[in-house]
Amino acid sequence: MMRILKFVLYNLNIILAGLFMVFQILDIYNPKMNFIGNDITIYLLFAFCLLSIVNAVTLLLHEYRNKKK
Amino acid sequence: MLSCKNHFPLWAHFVIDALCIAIFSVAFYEFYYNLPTELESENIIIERSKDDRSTDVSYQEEISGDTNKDESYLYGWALKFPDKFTENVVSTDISYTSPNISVTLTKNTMESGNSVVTYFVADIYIADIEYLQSGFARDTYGRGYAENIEDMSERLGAVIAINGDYYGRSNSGVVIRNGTVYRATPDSTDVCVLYYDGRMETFSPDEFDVDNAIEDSAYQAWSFGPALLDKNGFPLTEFNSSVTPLNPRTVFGYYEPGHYCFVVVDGRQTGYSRGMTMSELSILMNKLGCRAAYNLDGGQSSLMTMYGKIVNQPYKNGRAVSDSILIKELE
Repeated sequence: MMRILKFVLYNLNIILAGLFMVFQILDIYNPKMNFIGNDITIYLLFAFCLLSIVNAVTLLLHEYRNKKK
Repeated sequence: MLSCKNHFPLWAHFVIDALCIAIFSVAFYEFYYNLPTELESENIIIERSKDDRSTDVSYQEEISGDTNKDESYLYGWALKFPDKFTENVVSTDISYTSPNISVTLTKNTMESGNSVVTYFVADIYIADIEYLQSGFARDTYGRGYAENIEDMSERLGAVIAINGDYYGRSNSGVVIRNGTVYRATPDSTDVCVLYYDGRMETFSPDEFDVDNAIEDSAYQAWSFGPALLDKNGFPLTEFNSSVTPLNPRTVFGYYEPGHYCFVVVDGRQTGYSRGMTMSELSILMNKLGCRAAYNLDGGQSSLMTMYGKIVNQPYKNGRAVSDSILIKELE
């Protein structure tokens, strides 16, 4: 169960990062549409940051446990 | 490396992720920008102040001098341009005159071969500012609402119309239409303000203050830009815009209170019209004699209608837009 959850979170992190890269490119070509700064993507950005922290902490814990072994 | 004890190959993760990115991007775009959503208006009404003198009797006497008895139909700004207006409505395919409005449309070309540029200039005189109006797609202030200019023009009874700043594609940028402030949040674009007294001014994002605009009796304000001329009416060489290469263009030009122009440049059609760069557009507006000029939404949006019929040759037959600027008789 935990393994499945981890893979979902890792892939979700990749998806959100990819989404923001797409939005950034679109904003370069059409800044008026403001893909990055609108009221929905602000929440997506928050989710992306939170996921990044969770995944990084998970990775660090895993490395730490491996070292102990 | 983390262990990966499942039968799902690693490359499949990335393929599915890439597919999800594509699907979510398109879904977000459709949901956020194309799904019709009414926006909440700030609903600040800007009253026409006593200083807006276009129809003030003493001002009329001041600018008319000895009025010819035959020109008794002239009033307001029409007194400044008596030869432009007619006592009765006279309309042709390329012109319209009445006691209130005078529009003359010309089709122009410059250069030749694959460099040819075709552009349309509507030279506009109005007796009072309220003959120039803005229209919203489907009469609704919102995101995702779009309507063809020719349909909007016919619905609103416009003599001549152009596309506006496509405010509906953005969630910021000042929107003042027909004396009402719908959105007061500025963005990073230049702003164009048309006041009740007929003046038009352009502002950089740092210069613009919506409270000042309201206090000065703003009638319309658009957020797209850039401004095309400096404060003295000379062409600019640098622009607050990332869309400076060759493109179809729509421009609102200003000479003096009561005298304006709509300019639409066709583009992306080699052999007919390549479009204009922002620099070329700036030079054109200066050559036309404008004191101020403001670039509106271009590309596929650039479209001009007269009596509800398209007069230019828009790229890919144009597209539905969120707003228009039009000249119309008042009922």
